[in-house]
Amino acid sequence: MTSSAAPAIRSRSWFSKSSDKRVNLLTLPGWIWLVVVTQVPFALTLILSFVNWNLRNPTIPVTFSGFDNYVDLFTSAEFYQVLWNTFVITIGGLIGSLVLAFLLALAFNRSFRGITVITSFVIIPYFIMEPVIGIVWKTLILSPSLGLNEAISHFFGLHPIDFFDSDHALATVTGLVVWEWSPFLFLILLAGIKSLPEEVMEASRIDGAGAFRRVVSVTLPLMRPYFKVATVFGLINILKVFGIIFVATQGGPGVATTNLPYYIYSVGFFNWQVGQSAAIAVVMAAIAVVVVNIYFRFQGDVTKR
Amino acid sequence: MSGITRRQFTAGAVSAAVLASLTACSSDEKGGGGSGSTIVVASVNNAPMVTMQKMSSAFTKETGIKVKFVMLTENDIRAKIQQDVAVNGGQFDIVTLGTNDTGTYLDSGWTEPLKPMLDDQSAKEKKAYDFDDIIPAVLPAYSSAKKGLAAIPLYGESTMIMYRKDLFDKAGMSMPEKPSWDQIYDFARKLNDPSQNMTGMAIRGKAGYGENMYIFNTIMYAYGAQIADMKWQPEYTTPEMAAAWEFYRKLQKDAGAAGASSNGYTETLNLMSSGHGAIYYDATVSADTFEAPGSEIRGKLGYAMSPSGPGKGNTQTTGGWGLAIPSSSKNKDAAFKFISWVTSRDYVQQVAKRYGWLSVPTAVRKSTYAEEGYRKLAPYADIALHSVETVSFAHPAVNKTPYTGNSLPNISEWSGLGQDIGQLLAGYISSNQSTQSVLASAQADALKAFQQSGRIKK
Repeated sequence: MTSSAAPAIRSRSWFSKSSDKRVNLLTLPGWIWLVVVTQVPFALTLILSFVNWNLRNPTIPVTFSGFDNYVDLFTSAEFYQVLWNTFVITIGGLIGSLVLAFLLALAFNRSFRGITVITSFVIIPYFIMEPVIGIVWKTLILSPSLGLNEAISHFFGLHPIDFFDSDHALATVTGLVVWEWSPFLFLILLAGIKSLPEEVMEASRIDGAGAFRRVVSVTLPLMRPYFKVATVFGLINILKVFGIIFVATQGGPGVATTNLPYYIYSVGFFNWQVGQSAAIAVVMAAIAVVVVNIYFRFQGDVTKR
Repeated sequence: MSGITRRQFTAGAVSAAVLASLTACSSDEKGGGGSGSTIVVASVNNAPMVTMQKMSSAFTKETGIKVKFVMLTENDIRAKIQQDVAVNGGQFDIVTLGTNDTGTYLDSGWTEPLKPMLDDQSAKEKKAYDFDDIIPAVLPAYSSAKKGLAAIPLYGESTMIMYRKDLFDKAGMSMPEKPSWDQIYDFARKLNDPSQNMTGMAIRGKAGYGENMYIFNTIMYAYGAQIADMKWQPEYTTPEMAAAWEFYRKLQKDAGAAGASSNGYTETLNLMSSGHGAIYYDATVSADTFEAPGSEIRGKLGYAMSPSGPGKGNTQTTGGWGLAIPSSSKNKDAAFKFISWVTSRDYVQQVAKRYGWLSVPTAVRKSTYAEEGYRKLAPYADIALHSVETVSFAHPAVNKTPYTGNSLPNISEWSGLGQDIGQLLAGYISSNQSTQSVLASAQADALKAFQQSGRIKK
């Protein structure tokens, strides 16, 4: 009689004398690489955040400043404005991207002539570099003096809107983020929709559910795992948007569109305050970790499903 | 078989080797100062520098010294150079520095004084180079008051008014050679016609210490204001400063481009050169673009001096890029050879021959403005030269200032402070924010900057 017993579960201990140890050793270069490019820079950034260092002024000595950089940051009104901007761009961009991505996924969940070509046009924005997105939208499309905005307004006899003034800049940047990231989330959600069991959809049609009811009561609940993945990817990537802001608004007018990544850059490379810039970077990393952890705890881990 | 197999070990060793090669620094071969050596130039990617890069093969042919270039946009190359010199990185043998950096870099010991190198030239070299041909008024912008010449300008600029003569003639108006800002405002308002896509006043509004602040500070001085008094107390809340800010907003709102707060040098240049601007106030080098063959507005422009204000006249600024040698360079001799080659009279002739007179570096040598070939193509030559020659680098304001420099003060805080103030100004012109509140913010920013740098005690 052939033994059908499952193989004994191997010990997970690092010091196990099984072939796991050989596998672990082979992954060592990868671990070293990971530590060198992620943990070492973070550790150095953390150390620098406790230092007073003006890179532009060598007459000011580099000194240990304790928590001064953090105190200055948390007592600065500008920082809270930047936090708010980051919240608006990230959450607004994420929600906008998810909604648009889902609508596109619904629309493309069918077969028609040319669907492959049209799909590739839809996802083009994701492959365009952020600075190019910023330049094209700012100069060629939305510019009230030279762009499409001016041409269309002139045609209708209207005064062109300045999409990058104090009143509109934050919304415009958020809109550009949606334009950039919705194609990527669309791909995730499209894969999800296409993998939904057809018999469930058929059953709901037979039961008399209309299109809207089917989307709300059948499609959306079944798509939850895909929304979780799309949300995590979207959150991580939109939180660190920099190129669009750098090119289109330079964080302005004032600090109207400065988010945390741009703030790190401007404090580090305009004010040359290395310690303060590092402190902002540490705070941003902490916020990212907390947000992602809260999200996972709230939603439950995808792998447990 | 226990332990790692030979195949597994080889795989691991290969991985480690790949890892090592990925993290290894590449090192260019750098020899000494003679033939066969290679120098690295960190440069902004403006047109004269691109020409310099193209022409460098001629230098290599002459001397055997190879020249490599790291060319980036202004903000990026500034950041790269700053990081390298601050930690003595030694990546570069020549760096391009703006006028607000040259003096402070030399004072900080980051670059080499150039006068001793010029003095060491042979009599024949000195005669060929003709240092006295360099416009004297520009040299303070490339020097430190304490340590002397810090960089040699590759090209420079001042600021002046450029206006559409045809539109003025049509409107029956005449631009004086030395206008005031009030006159400019009146002209611009009359010519501003959004229905015809015509902007009365094409002037920068985009935030940046080298963008809107470069132009606005000349208006600030014209109104009798300044950044700080002799004790470094900021002066952003004076009546003169408020008047300057209010005028600038009025000019932008009543006659400026729509979306002015997004328009920097490039956008404003495009606006004017596409025929949609009536009056333009910016760098003199812009005229090269406007008068170039193929330009839509070629031959249609008139030129006038930088406008005066209620405070003072002679408000034009000076700017440009100089070539300096970092103290960490290991090829100082070769670097100086290249600098003296690319800033020589002969280089100007070579560029003119190869690329035309409108491509030669300007606002550096007096002799360029006397060249018939240049004067034929540049109707603005005299006024541009006069702007450069009469600029006041040491005394930009009505009252004495603790700093030199015009719109780019020669202080280490300027990149940060100018950026902050520039952001406030861009927000101010695109909103209805009160002048008092925005200037209070500017005052606070300036105070913080001077306290952090130790100029004022906290």
